[in-house]
Amino acid sequence: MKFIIFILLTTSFLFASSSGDNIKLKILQNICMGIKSSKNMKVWSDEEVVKDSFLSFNKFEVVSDFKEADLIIIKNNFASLDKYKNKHIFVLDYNLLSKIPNSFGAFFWKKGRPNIVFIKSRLDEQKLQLASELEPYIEEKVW
Amino acid sequence: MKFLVIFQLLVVYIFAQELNLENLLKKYQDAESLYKQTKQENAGFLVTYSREDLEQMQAYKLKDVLKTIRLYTMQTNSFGISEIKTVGASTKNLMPLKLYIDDFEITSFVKENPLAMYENMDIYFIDHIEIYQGGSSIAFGNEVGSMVIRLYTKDPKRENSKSFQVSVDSQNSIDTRVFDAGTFGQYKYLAYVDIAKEKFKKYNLNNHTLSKDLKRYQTHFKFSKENDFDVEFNGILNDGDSFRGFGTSPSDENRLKKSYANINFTKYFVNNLKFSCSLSGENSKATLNDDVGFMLANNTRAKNFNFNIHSKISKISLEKKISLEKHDILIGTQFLEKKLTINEYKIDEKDLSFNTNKVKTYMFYFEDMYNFDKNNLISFSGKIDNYKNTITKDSTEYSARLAYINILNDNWKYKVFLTKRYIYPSNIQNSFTMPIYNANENLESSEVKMLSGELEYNDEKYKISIGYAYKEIEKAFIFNLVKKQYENKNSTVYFQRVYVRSEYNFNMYNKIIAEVYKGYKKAYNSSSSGLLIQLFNKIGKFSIYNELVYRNGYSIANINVDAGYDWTMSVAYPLTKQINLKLKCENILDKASESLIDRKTQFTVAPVESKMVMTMEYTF
Repeated sequence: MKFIIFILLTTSFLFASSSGDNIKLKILQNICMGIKSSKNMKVWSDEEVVKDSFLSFNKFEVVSDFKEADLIIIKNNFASLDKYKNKHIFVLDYNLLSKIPNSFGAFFWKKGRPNIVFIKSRLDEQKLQLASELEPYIEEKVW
Repeated sequence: MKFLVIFQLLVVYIFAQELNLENLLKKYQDAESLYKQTKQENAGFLVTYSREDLEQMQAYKLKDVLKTIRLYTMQTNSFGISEIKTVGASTKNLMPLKLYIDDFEITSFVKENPLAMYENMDIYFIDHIEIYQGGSSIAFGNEVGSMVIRLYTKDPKRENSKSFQVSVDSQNSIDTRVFDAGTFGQYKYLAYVDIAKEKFKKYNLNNHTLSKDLKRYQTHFKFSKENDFDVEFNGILNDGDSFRGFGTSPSDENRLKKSYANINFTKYFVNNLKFSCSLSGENSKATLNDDVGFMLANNTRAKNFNFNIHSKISKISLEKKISLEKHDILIGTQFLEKKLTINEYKIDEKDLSFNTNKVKTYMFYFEDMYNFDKNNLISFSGKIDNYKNTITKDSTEYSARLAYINILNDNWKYKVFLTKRYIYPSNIQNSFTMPIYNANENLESSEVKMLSGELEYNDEKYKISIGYAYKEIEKAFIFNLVKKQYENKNSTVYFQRVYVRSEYNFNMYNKIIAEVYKGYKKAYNSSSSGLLIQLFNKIGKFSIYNELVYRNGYSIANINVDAGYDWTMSVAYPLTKQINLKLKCENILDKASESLIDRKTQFTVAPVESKMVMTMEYTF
């Protein structure tokens, strides 16, 4: 019963608004929910609105310092990020996928369309498994 | 409790479809479409062609869109150039249209009509198109037009790609485009080049072959920093056969070469202050020989005519937006200088010389948008234009516009516009013209008064708009066939127009648009009514588009021109993530609306030819 109420609540939240920003958050939530993990993941983002949107999910714990995070969602690069090889980094800018070698996936605009991509070799390297819904977005290389 | 559980499960089931990631991406794309950020609802009755629409339509050239615009009919002139004429207008009627690429207005001085240069332009670098009708906003600056066509380039932030597209058609044309756009740091760039060799159906007139084949070279570069500055360069060169030209027995060697280039710089300051300056150069050059000779304005015949005309246009403008509690105020000023130089004007080897024609225009305009409350907006705008001419007399012209928009509820809204504007005589009417007409230096501006309204219903699936316009013109420009010059009409000319446009979205991927219009005036020299049906479908990976453009028949001087039915169908299939294959069949029935080119021989030409276009797009 709790599960149904949870689903209903999250569903209501997800469809509360259809503005671009809200849909973007729904997409990010869907992506992160599709990352298989045996424990709750600690999430950090350089976008406050992204961090806030994960507060209502039991699966995620939002942390205030990126050093504590398992999953980092970033729009802008910062130099020290390369040192943290054990972090799973998901980027919101196409160029960052090439610049940050340990970023495993991206949500970005290309050719006027929003795209999702996961890099197979990086997923394997980081031992990340994805839900079947995300598998069509796995690519062999950055394109 | 059981009921509650069932209800909750039902809600979850209903939204399961919505939760599909592909659907969410599509919804995100739709919600973030650039046209939603650029459209100005109070600026006129708006028809938008989104990027998705243009791609599914396989609209490669501007004229692929122009032919679908309500209240206008596409025609071909005697030089093979496509023009659009408003309901019932004659071929001599010059349309005061305004064409923008981003914030830059394409201003032509040689032909006055920007479409004479850009109708054939390739639009691969364009994201979306907005058409404003019904007394469009004065705040668009420059001289006021009857219709405003705004083209917006693709946003480099959303491109991050290089692509290449090549089209070949059943007439053996080939069109190659290369596009690159992206960002580095805070800077954005866009680079685009198009090279085309276009071939068209050949016609025979008095045992002479008429051709409008051409080569086109086009480019667009943009470099910008968001909210800071934009630098844009645009250029186009059309070099081709001159079709029938002025005569009835043209030489096969006749050529027409037109080129246009502009550079535009815009700087955005804090406090909503915008400064822009631009420089445009335009050239039109032709060699026209005719075996019989064409009739000149002085009723003699000439067998040879060469011309080379150059114009230079400089523009500086400053705009400031002020937001008060309930007011949004725009104040702007602009200086425009147009200079026309005749480098060559030779009739039967005899050189004629002309003085350089220069027109300076000083403009001041303002607009106040007052929001009574969230459902009521009233806007008043005014404009003063001062013209200083080297050939004709100086004048000061005024324009004003009152707009009211009422949102009745979540579904219904209406707009009413009251416009008073003028149409300034074009260069080719009052100062410099081709030898077959005379210029009339005494031609005065026409005065236009217009009342227009549009009622719109909009819900998640359905949208319908009904529009009406009443227009009267004092001192309208009419062409005097005896004097062979434009004159001001003594009496008032009246027009009425009505249209209904409806759009039904079956789902996110399938929609139908149906539109019908009718114009009422005293005499018709072109189509007075029309219909457009557009069907956008997606079946699996296939994108399918069907379009029917109907324009009714009419008669000129007892010559009947048949009604036109232009059915176009396009199919696209993404072979891989990189390769997109496209097929387009234009004017499938070969019954598209035709233009009367020569009255004596009743020679007609269809601006939209029946042909098949195959395209391959590769994205790197």
